[in-house]
Amino acid sequence: MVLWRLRQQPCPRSAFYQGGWRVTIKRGNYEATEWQSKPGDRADVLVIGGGASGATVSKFLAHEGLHVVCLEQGTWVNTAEYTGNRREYELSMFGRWHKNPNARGLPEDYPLEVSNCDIDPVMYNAVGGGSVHFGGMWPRIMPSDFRLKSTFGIGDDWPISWEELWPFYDLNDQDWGCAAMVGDPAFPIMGTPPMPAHPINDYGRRFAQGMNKLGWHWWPAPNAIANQNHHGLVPCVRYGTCESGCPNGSKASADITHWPYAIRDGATLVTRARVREITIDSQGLASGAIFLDVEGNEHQVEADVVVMAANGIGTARLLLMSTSNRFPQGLANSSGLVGRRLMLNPCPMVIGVYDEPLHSWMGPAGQNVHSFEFYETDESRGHALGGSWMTMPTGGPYAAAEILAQDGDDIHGPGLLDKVGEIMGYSQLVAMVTADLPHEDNRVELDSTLTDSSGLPAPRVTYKQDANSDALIDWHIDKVGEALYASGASRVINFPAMPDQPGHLLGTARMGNDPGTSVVDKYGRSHDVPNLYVVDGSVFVTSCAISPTGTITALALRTAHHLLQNAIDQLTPD
Amino acid sequence: MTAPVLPPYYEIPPAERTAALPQDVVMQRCGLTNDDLELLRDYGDVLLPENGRAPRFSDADPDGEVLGLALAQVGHRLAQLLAVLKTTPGADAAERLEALQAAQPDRFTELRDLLVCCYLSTPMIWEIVGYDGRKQHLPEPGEAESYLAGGLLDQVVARGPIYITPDN
Ligand SMILES: Cc1cc2nc3c(=O)[nH]c(=O)nc-3n(C[C@H](O)[C@H](O)[C@H](O)COP(=O)(O)OP(=O)(O)OC[C@H]3O[C@@H](n4cnc5c(N)ncnc54)[C@H](O)[C@@H]3O)c2cc1C
Repeated sequence: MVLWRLRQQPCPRSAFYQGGWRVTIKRGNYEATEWQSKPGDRADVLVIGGGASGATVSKFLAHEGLHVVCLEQGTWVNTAEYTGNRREYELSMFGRWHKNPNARGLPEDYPLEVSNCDIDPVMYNAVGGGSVHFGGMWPRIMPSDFRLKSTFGIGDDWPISWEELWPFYDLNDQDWGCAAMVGDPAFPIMGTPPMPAHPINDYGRRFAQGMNKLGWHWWPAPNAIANQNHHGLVPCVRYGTCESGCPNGSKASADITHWPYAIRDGATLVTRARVREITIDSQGLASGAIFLDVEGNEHQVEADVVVMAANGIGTARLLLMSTSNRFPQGLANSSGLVGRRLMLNPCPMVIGVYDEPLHSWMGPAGQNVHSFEFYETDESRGHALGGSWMTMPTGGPYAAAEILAQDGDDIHGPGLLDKVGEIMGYSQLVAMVTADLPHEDNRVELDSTLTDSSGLPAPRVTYKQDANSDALIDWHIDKVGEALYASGASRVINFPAMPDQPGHLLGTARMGNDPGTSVVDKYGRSHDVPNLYVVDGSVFVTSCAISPTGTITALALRTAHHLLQNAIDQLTPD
Repeated sequence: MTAPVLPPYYEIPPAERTAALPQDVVMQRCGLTNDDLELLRDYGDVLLPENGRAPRFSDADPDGEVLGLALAQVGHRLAQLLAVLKTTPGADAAERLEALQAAQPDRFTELRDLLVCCYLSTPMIWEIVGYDGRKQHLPEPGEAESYLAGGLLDQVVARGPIYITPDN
């Protein structure tokens, strides 16, 4: 049956609508919207998760007139909560702004069982999701990423080509406030980004000089960070503290760039709404979701279409929790692949220390210069896959002490300040995002004992870094060291794993054409449940070797376009 | 698995999260007393003694302002670490820290890192090390271009595309 209503009525009690249909867009931060519905209320589209991908879909579909409801377990974060311009910034990275939800421990976080994990997955649970906590690095994947199997005989091919995704990258760059320099020879031509690239700063210039000596690729790097007024964002003032939320409101995060627009266009965003199950009807179609509010009361939302946007761990967790007689292994899981093939993009880093001042606490952080010189697979290196590199500031006094500790220094006792003075402002960080192979044993399951604050099973995450990643990381660390020495560094300090990074949660509901070997089709639609879509990083077929959010959201936008264009044929529940 | 110890900011309703929690509320939530704060300072002074231009831990934060900020973030963890130290043998702070380092190096590192972070967050230390961060540095007009001056990008452009275009 085809049922698709264009919205005629305001959504059930959206607080935003009290002022009428069109109101001036307020930047970020709205009052919590309580869920109240009448019997028979049914959303056109129910989005699970108000992070980067959920916001992208909601903004687009609400603008096109669909009645979108989004359930988000987190809350709005007020810009004044960010500590990046305050004295306690580095202390807050141990507490309220810790990247690891297990250490941060807010009630809206869910715990992760990670005793079998070589890399701790990190995330942020709020309106805007990980985009609140992310660095705003905004690269694209390379054309060969879509055809890894046919080009290099590794992993799998994606069911789409780079040409199919490219227009959505360009559209998405406008929404996310991308600041970039066109002409990067690592990529096919891109559309004009809304803003020019950020200054690469003294340290980025240093690195670029080193790369030129070696004849290696580099380019001023793209960031979803504004340097002009754009979509509610204001120009960056280079605090360099992007990864604990931007206190200036310059870094794109979906609570600023997307939700205010989606809400203006009629979307209902329900916060502190923890979804415990996707419901199905008698035909096996998704019929909505059940969520728990902060008091533990249960609510049901009905919808024609359900879009999963709870990230590469949250979506798998929820699909596995949604068991029924019809779907005993969890929803959309006839392939048995939901939760499997988890990829995390291991991120090593190298610090280069210089003899002259480089003011290297200045942002964005974000990335300044990036390189795709060693991105593609080259068999002569002795391992498959590759990595991208990006320069970043090294941060403030405590960050310098942490670097020293990693280098084996005792950071207590006399002499600490002299040692800190040698690193702070005199160094730069080169992070590497490396590709990892998809292994079915690297996976998300439900833990039998650990639960979240609503009593729902926590995800148990298994991730073993394989020998290919070990070899790849060693190789790249050496090469980055070479580049840093060529740029004039007097010393380099290696980190085989960047602390509390990278928060790239990929592959647990992969795309593909074959329902036996994939969870969703090339538009993110479940093979098993034709009105259930997945739009977060779960759909990645291979990990690629970049910061993924630009690609996740471009794919999400593509799914949203597809949904709209095919609305008339969309199967929906009775 | 034991229940996690809740951080002091856990109970704050979202709408009130912008306001700083009063220190007495934080201390009550974490079960900390004024004597505990004195103990923390003692441990800080052992780890970060006076040395030339560097003041000792307690002199770098004479009013305890930064320690207060730390409590609001990690009071629960400091309380746990103090509890461990209370059962660690030793006649004074230095001996107990030494014993902790030998018996539970992870705990020692956790405490050390938190106290070092407090110390390096004080105005006095920022002044000494010349830290000028967390201030606004809006780029000057033309600044972005100046870093690329001298044809820095010329050879990258001259080399041309470096990507592989696969057959579809
Ligand atoms: C410290 C850090 C730095 C990063 N830096 C970068 C970077 O520079 N560039 C980049 O590209 N990427 C970066 N990332 C990754 C980026 O944050 C993610 O790729 C991105 O946020 C993924 O978007 P998403 O929509 O898939 O998921 P998320 O943004 O994680 O959103 C998922 C949302 O779903 C909600 N949710 C989950 N389960 C439920 C449930 N049961 N009920 C209701 N709601 C639920 C969550 O609360 C969350 O808000 C970084 C991540 C971290 C943590």
